[in-house]
Amino acid sequence: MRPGYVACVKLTPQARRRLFFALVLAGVAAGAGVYWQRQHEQALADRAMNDIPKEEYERWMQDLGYVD
Amino acid sequence: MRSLPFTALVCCVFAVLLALQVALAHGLVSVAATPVAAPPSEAMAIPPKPAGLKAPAAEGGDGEGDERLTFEACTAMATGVRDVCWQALARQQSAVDPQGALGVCDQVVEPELKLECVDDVAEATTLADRAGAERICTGVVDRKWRGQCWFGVGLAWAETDSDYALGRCEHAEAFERFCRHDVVGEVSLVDVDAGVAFCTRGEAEHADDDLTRKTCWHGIAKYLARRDVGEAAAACERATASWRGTCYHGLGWGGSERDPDGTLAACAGFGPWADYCRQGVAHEQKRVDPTRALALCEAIGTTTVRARCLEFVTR
Repeated sequence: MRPGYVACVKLTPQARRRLFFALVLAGVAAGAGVYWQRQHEQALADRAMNDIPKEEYERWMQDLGYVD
Repeated sequence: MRSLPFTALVCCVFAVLLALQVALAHGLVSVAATPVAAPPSEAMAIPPKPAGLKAPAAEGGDGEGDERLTFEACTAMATGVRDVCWQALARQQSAVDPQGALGVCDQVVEPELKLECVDDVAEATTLADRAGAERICTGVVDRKWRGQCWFGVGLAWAETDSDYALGRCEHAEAFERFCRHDVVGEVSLVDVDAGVAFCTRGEAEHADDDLTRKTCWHGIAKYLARRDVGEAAAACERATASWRGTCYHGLGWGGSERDPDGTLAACAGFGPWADYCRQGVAHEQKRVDPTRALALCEAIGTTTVRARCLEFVTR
């Protein structure tokens, strides 16, 4: 590895700093994306559990022996 | 020009990361540890637990036949059963080391089993540490499993503190009615008056919710009938008139779990409610002997009850 080079590209110190911050920002953006996706999936799952139509819910209870 | 390669590199990196973020947002790629929960039809196949877990026997206690698991034993198990081993180990540790038990739950790989493990720890520890169990349940992010957690805590307290136990059902989310049914059933085994009082209060509190009201009476009868159908019948006679048939259905179901023939014989003595009782037996028998269940339904005299019975056993 040659000093001052990043992926075969010779970088000045300023360029290296810019690259560093660019990668940090990109990492933060990717992390935020992953977090948002998990929140979205959890919200979908929660809604699926709590928005069960009444007829379907009653049938569920009948099948498991909780009501006639 | 000198900065062109650097600019190109940065742009490439940004493009890759942006594409990844868009792909994640559209669900094309998932790195989430918790997968999307099963659709309602699959999620509803998970039955609520009908009986609370008991805390594991203390060291040197009456744990005859209990295999004492260890961390090393579970680690050595095949992948397919390791998660089940972690769950069992967590339950064993719950009574003496709840935090350690939660740590064991962290070893579970399958997300649904992991959450079930946490619920089991809360249920197993609540009698010794009510506040700790409440913290566990409050900390469960998934709504389904959070509701199950409070359901389990309610079951654990049913025989000790009925008011607290029944109050947990208000936090049971989608399982609130299941919780009320089972917890009031457990409560009734030790104090039927408390169970009846709870369901009677529910008549006013849930005046616009038939399902919540009638499942309460069903739970009392089902649990009592598992012990004695006479007791269950006496409780049903105290039920709101609108739900007495549902109550006798629960009696039939609960009694049939223990003794279907004896329960059918007892049904004959319940006057106008006999057919509701027989319907309960038939519905319960559908799980073990569908042919017999069908015959039981066809023998029911009341037209409306027979129709509902047949609709259930044939679907």
